[in-house]
Amino acid sequence: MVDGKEQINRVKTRVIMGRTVHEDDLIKYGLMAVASLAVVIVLGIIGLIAEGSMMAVRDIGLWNFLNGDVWRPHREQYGAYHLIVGTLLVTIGAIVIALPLGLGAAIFISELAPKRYREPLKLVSEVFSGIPSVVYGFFGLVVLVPFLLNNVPGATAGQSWLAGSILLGIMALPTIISVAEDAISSVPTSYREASLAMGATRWQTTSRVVVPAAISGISAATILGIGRAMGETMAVLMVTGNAPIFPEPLTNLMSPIRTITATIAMEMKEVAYGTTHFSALFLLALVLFVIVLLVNTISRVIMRRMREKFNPTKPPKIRSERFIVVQEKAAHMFQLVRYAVMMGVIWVIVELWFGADAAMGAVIAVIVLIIVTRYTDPRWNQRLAHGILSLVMLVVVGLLLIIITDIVSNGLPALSAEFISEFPSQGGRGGGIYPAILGTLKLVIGTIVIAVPIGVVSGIYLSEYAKDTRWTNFIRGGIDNLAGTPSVVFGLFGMAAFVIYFDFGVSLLAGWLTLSCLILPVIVRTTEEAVKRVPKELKEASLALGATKWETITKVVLPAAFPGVITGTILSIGRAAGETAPIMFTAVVAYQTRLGDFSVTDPVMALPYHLYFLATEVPDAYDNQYATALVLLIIVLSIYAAATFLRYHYSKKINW
Amino acid sequence: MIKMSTNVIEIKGLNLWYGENQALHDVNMQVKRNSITALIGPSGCGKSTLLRSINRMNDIIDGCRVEGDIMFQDKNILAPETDVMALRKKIGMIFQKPNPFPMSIKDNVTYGPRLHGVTDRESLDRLVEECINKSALWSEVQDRLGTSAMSLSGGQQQRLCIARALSVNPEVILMDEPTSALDPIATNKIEDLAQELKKDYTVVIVTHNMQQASRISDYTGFMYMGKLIEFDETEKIFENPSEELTERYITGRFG
Amino acid sequence: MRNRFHADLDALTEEVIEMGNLVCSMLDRSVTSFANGDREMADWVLAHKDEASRLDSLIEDESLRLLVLHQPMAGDMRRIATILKMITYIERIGRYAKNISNAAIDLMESGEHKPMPQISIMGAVAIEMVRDSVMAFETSNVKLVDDFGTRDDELDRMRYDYLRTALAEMKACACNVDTYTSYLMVARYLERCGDNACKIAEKVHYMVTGKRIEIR
Repeated sequence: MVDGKEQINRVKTRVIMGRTVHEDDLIKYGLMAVASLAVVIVLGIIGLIAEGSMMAVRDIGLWNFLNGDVWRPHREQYGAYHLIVGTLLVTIGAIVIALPLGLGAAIFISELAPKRYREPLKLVSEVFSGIPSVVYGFFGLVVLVPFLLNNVPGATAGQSWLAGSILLGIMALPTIISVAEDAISSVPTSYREASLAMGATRWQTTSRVVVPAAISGISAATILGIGRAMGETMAVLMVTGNAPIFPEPLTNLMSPIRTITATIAMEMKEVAYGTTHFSALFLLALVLFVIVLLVNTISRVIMRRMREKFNPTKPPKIRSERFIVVQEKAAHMFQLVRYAVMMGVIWVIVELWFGADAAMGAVIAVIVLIIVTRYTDPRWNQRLAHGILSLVMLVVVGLLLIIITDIVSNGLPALSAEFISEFPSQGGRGGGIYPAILGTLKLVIGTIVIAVPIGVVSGIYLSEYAKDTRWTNFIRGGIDNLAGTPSVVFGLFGMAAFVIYFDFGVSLLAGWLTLSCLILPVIVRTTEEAVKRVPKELKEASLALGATKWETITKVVLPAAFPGVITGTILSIGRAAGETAPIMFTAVVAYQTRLGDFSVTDPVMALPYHLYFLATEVPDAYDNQYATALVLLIIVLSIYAAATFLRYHYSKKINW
Repeated sequence: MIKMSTNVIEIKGLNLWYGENQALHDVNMQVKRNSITALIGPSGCGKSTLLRSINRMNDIIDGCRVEGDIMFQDKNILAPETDVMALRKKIGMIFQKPNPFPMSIKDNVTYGPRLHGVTDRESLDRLVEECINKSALWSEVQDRLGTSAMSLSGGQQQRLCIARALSVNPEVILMDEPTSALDPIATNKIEDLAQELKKDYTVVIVTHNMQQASRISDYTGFMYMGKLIEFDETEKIFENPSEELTERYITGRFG
Repeated sequence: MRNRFHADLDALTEEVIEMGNLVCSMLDRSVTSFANGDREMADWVLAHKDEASRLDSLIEDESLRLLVLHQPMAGDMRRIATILKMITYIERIGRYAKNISNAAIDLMESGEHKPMPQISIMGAVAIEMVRDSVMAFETSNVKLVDDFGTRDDELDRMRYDYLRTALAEMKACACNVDTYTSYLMVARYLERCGDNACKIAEKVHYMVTGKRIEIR
């Protein structure tokens, strides 16, 4: 008994170099060291990109770069204007498609769907998000592009702005659906009850109370969707036609177009180290990074203002009558603008397929509908609205089914045991993809070993130890931004740093390091969030019993945060397995007929790149293309399924 | 055509099931016009369920089945052809936790009228002032109608919810433990307000606080295990109840 | 907390019964001492008069405390209301007992004491009424006090009879005036005890049934 008491009372200190140090402090410094590594990487990436673009800034001039509308690198003309516009246009198009569909699906799932269908539907949208972008690109190339070519009147080519936006829209859907659905179902039931108790229909409640109350989450969803679309590389590379021009006229959706990301990906391999062209690509990456940074900042500002609206921490500012009147007028105007935009979009889309007359008809029909619903019985309106929402959900599910069915039905026949175990032959038309599968596995395992420990430790440090200073907030901001940075930027960074500067060459090692940088910010962030979500009452209870901070973390916090951490990690791994751009110039080679001894300085084949290679450079490889796509799909979706299963399993055990 | 019958609501033979569980057993009750009727009883006795049956709010709960009649304005509101939306305009509800919408104070009060088609700015403004006045809140918010309702204190929020309920001109106001989340001073204000409101409206209030029921109500109903055990004038219930069960509950000998 | 309250209420009830029994004893002994000339009994009553007072204050304080802290309802509320009034009546009866004892002592000391069986009879009726009213409170049984109206009438009749007897005796001989004045006062006290017993009975009736009655 006495022994135990002594144990409890013993202050946990060690003597190091003659000074007494508390155990907790030791650990804190240890963690800080590891977290600093993450910081170094973050800063390093930003720094290198910036530094790499300096030459271009000097030689070309920033204004000329941004404003010039001719991009012909071999003629030393570096005007990125069309590229920037191309990125924006494709993104806008994607959002125009994804926002209504995504929001509609989110509303359907959280408000309309019977309870037992909610989880399965959310699962469907999550499956969407697991599909690698190169698979989307492949589908786009092989199915969407010919479809557009044959069905849009007057189209001369299928690869176009429209194809890119459609594909990007589909790719942004899962993000928008999941975040928006979360936001909508988090709206307290008490609001719904209050509205219903006043005689509102369910649709009136949804549209006038619930959705406006969730607007901050919905905005966040939109902006995350925008970020996703802007950073997309492979899909747009494969289906937009890649002509760095301005659509003529602006509403010509079938015009080819080129994005910044596609440019970087395409030209990276032709470029020589140290040239202006090389630096120009870095400058492009920097511009993209800045745009994404701007988008994220705007989203954070919006979120903060929305939060103030809901949980005011300061007393409200009393505004003058005139201000309120002006504010109301502005709100009205905003409404009108929204309607105008909607009309414009409807016009453009209908006009493309059916001509100007039909477009006019469609716009008028919609206007009439809107006016009529103002006067009809709310119950009819509800039926109409619910019908439209159901249709939207059907479309979303249908899109997923089309893509998956296409790949499975075409890939399955071509799949065989030989395919998985043989080397490629005939330039890829024949044989199997054994080295690609192996290569992907090697890449993934190495990346896990490097990125996960650093990421998890840094996440713990940031959430439990770091104080709320300007420095740590800067770091957090940097990590957040990097988490949203397009993967092609990482590819560029990896190439410059690991392949060239450290002279690892195109190799497995360079691939590991690049992919680790890619997923590190995400792991840090998901770890931090998972740890933060552990209720502080648990931590306090542990500390109140006399546990040290580190004991509390290892015995209480981490076990509780484990599901979140694991899920985030697995999702990152899925991403690493499916990404093409980061490995395109750092690790992969297109064709290997045999494997030598294992060496980290050798390049490898990898499934995502192999698919891209087959799809864009190997004609008559139909079977192998589909089979490769199927194998990649299966691997990545299995990883996502594992993560989802784990999350579901743990969420049943732990209820806060 | 003004019906001046003394009973605003007549509940006859009301039975209610949540799935397999019967939550209300053969309840019979009359609510008198311009009175405050209190429902008391231990947790789970069915008083909130009974209250929510009156404005058909139990409809939103899956698996809820009702039998019996609730007569309001000469019609049985439990009949399937009832216009529930219109019913809820005439029978309003205040909830236990104040739940103003995350909009401005003014928008909260205009929500109801807007739902039902009122768009004229001036009438809305007048309505806002009238309703907020009636809930004894005007002097506290008159110069900040455009600010968020979430910036009000709990008691103010609850009074705003009352103003919101009044905005659709109900006949009956149902209150489900309206002061349990409030401090004593805010509770006081709401109780005074209820006394004022009964001049123009009829109030039915569920409360777990017997002192509150004895303070403000004219009639009190004691419920236990889904049955209405006793219903009488408040003074009678608290001074000399007829049922032994009522006496035991009121004197704290169980529950 | 309610259990604590009920325990306190039960304890309070016990004290009221104790006070009631004490006063019954006092009345009984005082009547005996007056009727039979028993000095010891009279002294006993005088020795215990402060006890009745003490109980009165104690019970009142405790009742108010329970009211303030527990805001009792229904039966509990009626019980405490009854107790508060009852102790006043009981205390008054106690004082009458003291007065009767004093009168007895005066008579005995002046040597004018004569045995007075009529006082005993009247005393018995009054004591019985007081006892029954306290018992009714103790057992919450209003049947015990059903016939109080009749008994009170009897007390009145007996006193009236006694008045006539006394007046006759005083007219017959001036030497009887002191004695018979004493006897009249005692009779008056006993009749008042009966009245107070009736008042207790009314309150007990309210406590048990919730209805207010008047006993004439």
